[in-house]
Amino acid sequence: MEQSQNLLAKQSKNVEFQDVYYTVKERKNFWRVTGERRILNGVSGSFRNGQLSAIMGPSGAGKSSLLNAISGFRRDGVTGNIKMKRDNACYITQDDHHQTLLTVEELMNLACDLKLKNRHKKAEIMTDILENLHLNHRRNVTAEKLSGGERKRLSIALELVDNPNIFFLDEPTSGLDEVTAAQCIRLLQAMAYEGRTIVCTIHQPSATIYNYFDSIYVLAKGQCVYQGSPRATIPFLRLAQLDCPRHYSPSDYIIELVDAEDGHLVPALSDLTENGKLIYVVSQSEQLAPQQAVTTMFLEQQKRPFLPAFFAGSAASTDGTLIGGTSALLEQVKAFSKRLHTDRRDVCGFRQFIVLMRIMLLRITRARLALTIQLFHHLLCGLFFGLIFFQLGNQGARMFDHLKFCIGAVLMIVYTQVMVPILSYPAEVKLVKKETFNRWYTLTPYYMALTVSRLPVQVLLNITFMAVTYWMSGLPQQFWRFCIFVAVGLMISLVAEGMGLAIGATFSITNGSVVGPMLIAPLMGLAVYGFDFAPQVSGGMQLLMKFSYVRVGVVSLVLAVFGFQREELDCDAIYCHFSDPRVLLKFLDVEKVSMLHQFGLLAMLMLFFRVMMYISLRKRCYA
Amino acid sequence: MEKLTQEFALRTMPDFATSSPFNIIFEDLYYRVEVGKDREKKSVLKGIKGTFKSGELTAIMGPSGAGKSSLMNILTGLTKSGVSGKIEIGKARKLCGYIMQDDHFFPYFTVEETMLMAATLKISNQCVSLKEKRTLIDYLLNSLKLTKTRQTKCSNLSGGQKKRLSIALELIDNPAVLFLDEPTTGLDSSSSFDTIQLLRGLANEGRTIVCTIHQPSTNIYNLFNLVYVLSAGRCTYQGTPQNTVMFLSSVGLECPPYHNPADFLLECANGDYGDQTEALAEAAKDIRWRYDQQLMQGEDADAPSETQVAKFNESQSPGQVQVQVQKIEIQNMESSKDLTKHTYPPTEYMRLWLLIGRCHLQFFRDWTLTYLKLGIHVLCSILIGLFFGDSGSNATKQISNVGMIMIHCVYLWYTTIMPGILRYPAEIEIIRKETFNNWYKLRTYYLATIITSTPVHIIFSTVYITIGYLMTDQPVEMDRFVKYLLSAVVVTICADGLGVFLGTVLNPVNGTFVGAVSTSCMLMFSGFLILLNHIPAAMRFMAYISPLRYALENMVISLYGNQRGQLICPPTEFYCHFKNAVTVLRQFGMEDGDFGHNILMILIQIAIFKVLSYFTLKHKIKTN
Repeated sequence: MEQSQNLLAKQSKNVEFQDVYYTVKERKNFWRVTGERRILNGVSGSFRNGQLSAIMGPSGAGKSSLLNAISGFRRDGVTGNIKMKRDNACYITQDDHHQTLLTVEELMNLACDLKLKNRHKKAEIMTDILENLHLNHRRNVTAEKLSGGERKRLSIALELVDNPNIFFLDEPTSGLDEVTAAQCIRLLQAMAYEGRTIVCTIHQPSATIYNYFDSIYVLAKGQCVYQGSPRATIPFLRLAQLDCPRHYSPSDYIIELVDAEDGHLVPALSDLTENGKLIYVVSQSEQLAPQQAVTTMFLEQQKRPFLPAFFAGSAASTDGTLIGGTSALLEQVKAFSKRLHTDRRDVCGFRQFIVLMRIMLLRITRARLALTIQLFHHLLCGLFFGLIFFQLGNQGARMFDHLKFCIGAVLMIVYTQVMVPILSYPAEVKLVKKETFNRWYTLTPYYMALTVSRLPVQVLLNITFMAVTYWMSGLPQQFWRFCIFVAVGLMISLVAEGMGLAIGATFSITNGSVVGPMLIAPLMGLAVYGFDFAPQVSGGMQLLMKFSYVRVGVVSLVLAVFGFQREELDCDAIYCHFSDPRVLLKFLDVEKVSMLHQFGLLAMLMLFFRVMMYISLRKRCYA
Repeated sequence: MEKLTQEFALRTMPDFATSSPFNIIFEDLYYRVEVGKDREKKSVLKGIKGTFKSGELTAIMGPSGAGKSSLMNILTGLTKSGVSGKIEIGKARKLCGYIMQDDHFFPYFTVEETMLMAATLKISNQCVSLKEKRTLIDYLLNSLKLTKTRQTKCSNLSGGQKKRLSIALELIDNPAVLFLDEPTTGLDSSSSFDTIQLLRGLANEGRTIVCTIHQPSTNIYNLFNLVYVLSAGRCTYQGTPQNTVMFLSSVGLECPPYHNPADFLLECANGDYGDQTEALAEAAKDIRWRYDQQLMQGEDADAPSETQVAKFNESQSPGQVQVQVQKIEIQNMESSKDLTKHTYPPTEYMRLWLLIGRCHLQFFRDWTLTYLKLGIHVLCSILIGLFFGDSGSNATKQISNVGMIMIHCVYLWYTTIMPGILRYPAEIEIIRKETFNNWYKLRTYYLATIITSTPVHIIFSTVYITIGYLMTDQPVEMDRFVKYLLSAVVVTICADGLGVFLGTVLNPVNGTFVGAVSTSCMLMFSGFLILLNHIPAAMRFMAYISPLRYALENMVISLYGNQRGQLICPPTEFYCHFKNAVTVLRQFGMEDGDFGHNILMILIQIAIFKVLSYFTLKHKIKTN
């Protein structure tokens, strides 16, 4: 009985797939779809628990497509039956993306905190994993200083903390030399023998590496031409009257055969394996023995509820009546809710938020040089600005200078805050995509942590710039007015940063550096528009100017400096028309404008940009 | 046509038939580098020696860190310091071609265009006509199986096709020696086989071809004439692929069945079967591993299997055919005098014109660089024009009018400095390859890009400024408009110069950040936010180095200076402070502005940026 239960538990960790097709649309350009191309042609197969399996084949055979299809990394265009327990699987990409400023130990801590519910076992788990992967002596090394092999092992270590049963690796030996590649494969073999299912694509392994695998799955032209153990490869080929020369590696030979120009061998070999439904092993008496690969009985109603099926189900209501459609929709909603429920995390979102917040703050403090440069930049700009407008704040004869002071301060904040995330954020999107797919965290806690962790830096930089500017320019010595002044600067900064993040999450660095200045120009145009003929500005333009946060910022700053019943300014000339602040406000047509109203506009614009960024990020991560 | 192709095939032969072979010989070759903080010397190559013969395809193999790339770089001349020993290459290095591991092409050119451009850059029109060049290109593309892709853009080529195109480009001027770094990296098995087979064919024509290779399959391994294995800086094998198994047997290492001999050889060199470096290095000194005949007669050797005999005969037959072809060559040579004519490269001036043409073609193919940017310019100018309406003539809107001028300057500056920062980093690998292989000199390329980009900046800023000028009701006087436009154009060119300089000094991310920061600083001192005469004396020097200041002042002078008439005061206004144009000039402290002086200051800054950019680009190409 216990043995039977163990067998069932073991079988549940197998990955099995049947009649899998993968189709992509061929596009002539962004708008025209010229046709469809089929990459996977109804392949079947299985990857057993406790085994190290390899997907091999020439370029264009569909290796990565098969791995992406059965792991769920790619969903669009995939049809067929796939049995894989998604909640305990992970995917390791070919490129190793890590937070470059964190050490191995810190990254492991991050993964443990995000994935493990019980913290008291964390140190033990970390030590075990790092020792098994020969990384324990590199605990205090930052990720960017690791070698290629070490970086690969770190990628594996980070996913091992919650002990996933199924591993998918895309080209784990790419970029490694022979020694490191063999080490990597031996490591994966040891991990498989501990009771995991490990599947990886590999390009052209040497005979030594080839024999480390327990199971080989060879693809060619979207079809399976061999599935079985490495030792059975040569007898299998002999079955098809193909003799492997003595000093040929069987992996080279079989890929050479199926990679020929005419490809006439592909259908024959695929028939021998029934396109992946048969596994060839060598029995005790050295006889070739095919076995059934797929043992799961796939039923129609057990198909995975993809999101397109969600809407297709409601649209394909059989009776066509409103009641029928509503009933089908209700059924789909229930299935969707059930899927969401089963996908719930062990670690709650709030704890993810706390852990990510701590890591982000650590990363900010770790990037000390960048922080110092920014602080120095803000301080220097503040000094320059203060010297330019030195002690002009109380001069009644210099009204236009006051106006330019406000405009210049806003432009300084905007230009700096927009460009930095445009440049630095696109690289981080790749990391976020990988980590959300492997269920380190969900997008909402990450987004909240990102937003909150940037606030201290924003406050620090803004206080630096605005404080130097305020006091050097000789504005009134009223602390509450200074606080309003700084608050306006901070709000403008948050809006500008949100705009930069939205652009950075949507475009690459090259395109973002063009889109950013292009968007700022009209906003800046609206900022300087009409101050000398304010009463004549039409209603339409008035409405349009509310959408320029640069303009709203300038108005807020003017109110902060001259509003709230400020006393009369000094007058050196015979007559100063604008020495009374109320005259200035009336001239600019902002005397009836409320500061709270302006703050509300800035808050709305900040919210808009932040939501745009969130939508772009979600689109990038869950595509 | 076929006859002409054959004639070109014959023409590529004369160098080899009439002159001494281009063998590469090196002895007692050492290479030491300094590592670590204490600058300790580390030997990468330890007294190796070898001979790479013409007419042979040689592979340099070995594990990582064995010194393969170091040896390749020493032989090509890329690495000079830290090298000692004797190196003989038949003739000057100018007859060599180096094909790097990564293939870089301009993505918007087709294969045929790329080949034709290379042919015109390498061979002068005076010794080979354009028609003959096209025939040569057809021959090369056909030999390298690229005829079907002649109309394909380089960005759409597969990995194998890119590799073959790299080879074809360097074959145009018929180099005697070819070096290839990892020619099969990133290719699949059939592409790898095709590439090595092609190299074998090229070697059979009499060339000396040397390549590093990582982990070849058996069929690829057997295509080489000579295998040179490095391990820990020493030569552990120098012989034919077919002798590998027997060589390893001679030191007690038996190759398992169904095992690739190349893999096994590398595993032995790696130490997978114990540290065999000393034994292998000693055994490798025996010269008999290069010759199959002697080994066949050895008494202690096992009788080779049928497949080995078949492979042996197969590998010998191309050589025999080669010998016959060479005999025919010599006979034809004696009967034909004009075949002794040598090709020579075009003058640098001609190359300049060719590069200008290429830059123009590349520019118009990149739609994001041209049509999208032009569209954005038009859209932005219309948008700002709609904002400001009649600010050019309405006396109540003159402060806004000057603000609009500032926006124009900042917009042109910003949208020009950013692409400038990103221009050369994207192309630097191509430039490095082409200058190293003597396609042209770096200064020729740099001058061509300047000559190409300057009219573009002129046209784009003209479109932008003209739309804005007309839409905002500025004074319709030709001299004012021309001055106004000239100021905008020179500030655009200045932004390009600064952008290129930042792009060659810093990486793109840092360059863009510094560009944004410097723009902010220049904006502060441009004369709009604070009057120039109000700037404290200690800070005034910043205004002298701000191009935006000069441009803004010039544009304001263009509109309001030179006895401009009164502006229009709307009937609804009782008093217009800026009715007189002089009042605007006085308001901004620009009454004494000198148009010519300001233009001269911007031109000086343009010259400084362009010259500095050239030297930083040169430095960046030389260092890696």
